[in-house]
Amino acid sequence: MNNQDNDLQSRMQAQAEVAERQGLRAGNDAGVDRYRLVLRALRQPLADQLPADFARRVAARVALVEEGGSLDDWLVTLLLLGMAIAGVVYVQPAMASIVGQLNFTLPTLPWPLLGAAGVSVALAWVIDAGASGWHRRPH
Amino acid sequence: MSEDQELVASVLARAPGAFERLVARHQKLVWHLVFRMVQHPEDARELCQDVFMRVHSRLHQYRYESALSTWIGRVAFSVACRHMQKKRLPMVEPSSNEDESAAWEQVGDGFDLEAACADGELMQLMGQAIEKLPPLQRTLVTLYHLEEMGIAEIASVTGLPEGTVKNYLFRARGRLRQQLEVRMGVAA
Repeated sequence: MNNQDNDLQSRMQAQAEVAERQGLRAGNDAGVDRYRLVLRALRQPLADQLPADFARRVAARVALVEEGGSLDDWLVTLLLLGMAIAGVVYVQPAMASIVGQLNFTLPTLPWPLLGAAGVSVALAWVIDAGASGWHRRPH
Repeated sequence: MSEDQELVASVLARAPGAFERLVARHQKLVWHLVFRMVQHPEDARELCQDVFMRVHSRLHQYRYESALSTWIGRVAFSVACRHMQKKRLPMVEPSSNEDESAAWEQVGDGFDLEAACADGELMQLMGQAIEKLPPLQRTLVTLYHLEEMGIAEIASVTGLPEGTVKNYLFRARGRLRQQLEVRMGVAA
């Protein structure tokens, strides 16, 4: 196709689009009308479609994955907790004798001040966690 | 708050039925895009599910910079492209200007548009001709003519420059008209 032909085809395509959009009568230009047929064929709905309950099925699958995910998290937490307790129970006799042999005194630090700082940090964390939880709740 | 924002906020807040509503609202676009690309109903259905699973897991990354439909279309296009690459299917055909030249000269004056549209066989043949377009071209014409997306939106979904989208649309319509000429030549 040369440039002149390209221009002609491009013009006919544009005319066909306008004619279709405005519902103009056919019969003035056979070339444009042929393009109008092409445009109508392109607007035909596809023969194959998604099943009617597709959205429900996908939503159910997502819910299942999410449930599975939270169960996984819960099991991992339980496993780690169990391992930590088992570890403490296992080393406890040895640790007791080591700690008994140690003779140390606590250094003189501003303990009330450190305690207050610790309580403040914990309080800030609780408030922050509470606020995040509130934002995530469905309103 | 726009409709998109409201829906996204509901899904992120895990409101009951919100995600199902999101899927129902955009499934037609995703289906048109994916099915036209892969042209295989079973694969396309599977891929549509993958698209929405991905949409769900990445929805928190949506920044409202485009319409939600454009963002979902982009996810669908990328899923379909990856499938095509995995199956080693070509997205476009090498251009062949030679075979596009001959048919234009066969155009005659006598053409009844309404009669041709009423001709079920001819419309069926046109449907088959659309299916035979290269995957990218048939996807673009479907987004433009069936989904009634604008050129800029299609460019945003596919990541193609607007000029390229226009060029593909022009060539696809030209090719279909050429097929029509051939069919009518055979029928005459």
